[in-house]
Amino acid sequence: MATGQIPKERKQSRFELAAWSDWLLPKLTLIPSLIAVGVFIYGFLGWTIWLSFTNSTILPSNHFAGLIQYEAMFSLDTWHVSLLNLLIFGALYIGVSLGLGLLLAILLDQKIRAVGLLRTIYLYPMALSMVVTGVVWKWMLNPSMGVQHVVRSWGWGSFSFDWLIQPDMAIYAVAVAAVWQASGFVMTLFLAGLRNIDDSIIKAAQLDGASLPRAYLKIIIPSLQPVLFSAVALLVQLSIKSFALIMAMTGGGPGYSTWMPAIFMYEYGFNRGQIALGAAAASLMMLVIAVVILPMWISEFRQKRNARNG
Amino acid sequence: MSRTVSTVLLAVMASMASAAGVASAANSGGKSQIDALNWWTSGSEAKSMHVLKQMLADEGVEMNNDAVSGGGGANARTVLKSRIQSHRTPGMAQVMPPAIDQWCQTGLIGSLDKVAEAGNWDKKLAPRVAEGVKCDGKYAAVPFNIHRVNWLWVNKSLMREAGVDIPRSWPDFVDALKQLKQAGITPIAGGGNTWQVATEFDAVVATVGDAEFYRKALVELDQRALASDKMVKAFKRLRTLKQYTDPDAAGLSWNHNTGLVVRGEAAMQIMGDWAKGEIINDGKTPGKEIACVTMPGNDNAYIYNNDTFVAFKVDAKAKRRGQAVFANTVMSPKFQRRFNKAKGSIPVREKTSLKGFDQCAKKSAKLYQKAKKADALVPTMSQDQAEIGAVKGAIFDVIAKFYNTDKMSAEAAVEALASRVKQAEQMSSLSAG
Repeated sequence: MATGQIPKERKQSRFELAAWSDWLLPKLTLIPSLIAVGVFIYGFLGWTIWLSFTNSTILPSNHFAGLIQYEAMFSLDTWHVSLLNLLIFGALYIGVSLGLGLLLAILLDQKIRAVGLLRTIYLYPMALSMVVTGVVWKWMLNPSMGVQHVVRSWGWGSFSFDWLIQPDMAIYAVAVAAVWQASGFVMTLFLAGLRNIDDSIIKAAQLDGASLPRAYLKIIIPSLQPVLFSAVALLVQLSIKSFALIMAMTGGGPGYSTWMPAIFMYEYGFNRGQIALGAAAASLMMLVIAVVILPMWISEFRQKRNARNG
Repeated sequence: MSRTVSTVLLAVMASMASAAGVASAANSGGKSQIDALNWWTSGSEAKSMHVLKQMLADEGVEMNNDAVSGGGGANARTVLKSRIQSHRTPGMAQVMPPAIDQWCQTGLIGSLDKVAEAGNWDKKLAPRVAEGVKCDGKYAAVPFNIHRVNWLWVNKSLMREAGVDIPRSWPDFVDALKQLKQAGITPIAGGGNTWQVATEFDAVVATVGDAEFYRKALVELDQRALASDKMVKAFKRLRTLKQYTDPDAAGLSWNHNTGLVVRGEAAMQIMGDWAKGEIINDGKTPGKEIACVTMPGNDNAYIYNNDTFVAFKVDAKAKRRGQAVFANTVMSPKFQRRFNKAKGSIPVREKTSLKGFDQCAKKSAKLYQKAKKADALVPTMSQDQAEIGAVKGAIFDVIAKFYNTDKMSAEAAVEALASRVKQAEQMSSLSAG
């Protein structure tokens, strides 16, 4: 008895130590990244919001100034243009990329040959840096050396495609380039989603007399909702923070006609020495992202919980 | 922001600062050294800084050439701010005169007054230029050069072909534009981006009034001058220029446009004398095939741009000595000649020999002296020389809007100009108090 007692005790303490380290280790390993995230994301986020209520110019100041930066911002034509461009660009970028991506995914899912190759080709634009995309499209859409020039040199003298230099149209030219870059990526997301759908569901639907388009519309596309959610969440934040593409393609021009909130923020915060005004723009950008993403996130969360409970 | 977060933030900043302190203490063993923060990264500019580094080394000062590329200096300005925030203030930093004023108000600016007194800068700089490099009446920065902005670069053979004389006055200029267009030649290579349009606008403002009007409106921001009929006329003239500019040029860079003039695809360009570099690159001689003439109607005004490095307050004695040697060397005739020959500008130091400089530089120096006597030296708005970023940005926005909106009237532009400038001034003076 006595001899058996000691190993048992030791076993128990060892067990306790293991339980304790099981409890502690994950927390220990998480702490550095939690601190980093806390400081460099939430800390600076809070600091940015605070700065937007100060009178900071070339250096951060802690002098509270109320809402003057926001008032000034909404009195500026550059801000209104930036917001309007965000709406136009965002709607086109998200809408067309999703539509095109879904269409391409459905077409690729039709058991055709060389799917792997095609998928890679469509995905490639996403591998390019935004700056490269911007520069390439800048030359292609430049009227005196790009598409317009080439078509005219073929003999169609009146052909005109000069969106890039038209202040009202330049943002659409930017959207074209952005869609070109993103839709292949969205396609890959949808394709993965489609591959996860059990073939038997489609077969069952067809046995019940549903046509193929109807089966897609009523069964397959609705079951892609989680993929759709991820794609939208990605595209929304990409469109709100889009910067490099525009800088490379138009430099915000002609004039400031292709500015977006991120460019506004950079221009005022860094170039013009109006840190507080830039911070105000950054804070509003974050608010917009939160307004779009949070409800989606909450509904997703609720669905998951319901699924678990039900 | 919660207290814990700010404590953590402070702790991180403090540790960065002390680490930097240790590093700089380790560096300054005996020898004088100086950090020179700048945005000169292009070939000839970087070479010039290398010359300076060598000349300083001869004086026993080790210069760190902290060149930050990109954004027309925007990135360098950001680096400057973050270095100051983390207590790694560079001894010298490239800063434009209006920003010297702005930094002056922060109390972070050092002094070069002793060097300036010993070197007799009062006699060696034009009064208007000296004014720009002072903080509270004391020399705080050293000027490198003088660029002239209001040049018209003209392809002589194209003009001869079209039978058009090089214009001298504004009406002659408009006639020339018309004739060139009729001859099927693109009259002006320009537009491109707001910066290029603003460069044209600078010169155009000086055509409607003398240097005094330019100074009142774009330097002193006098509301009455900004909202005046003369300013309306200036905007109308800017639109005239646009009508003779190739619309397809939107989005193209200034050096591309200079290239068009050099290759004979356009007749003229309004641009500062840094265009000479492009002309030389294309194998032509400035002043020979491509004429450099005063912008028509600008006889009176010399719109200039000068690069300046400001001294920040530094504790170490060795660093202060570094600042003094830096300033002294930059102002020396030897460096002035070498640097300005490479950069395409003229020496800012009076009576520096121009032997070996090109025709346009010699012409520029003559016009500079003439303008100095007539008090017609005015700093350029378009190159950050007259206004701080906030105000310049506001002016740029109005110019961009007007240039790109054909239905916007000149009167509406002037109204917007006056009110936007006022707002930007108010916003930037808030933190000064």
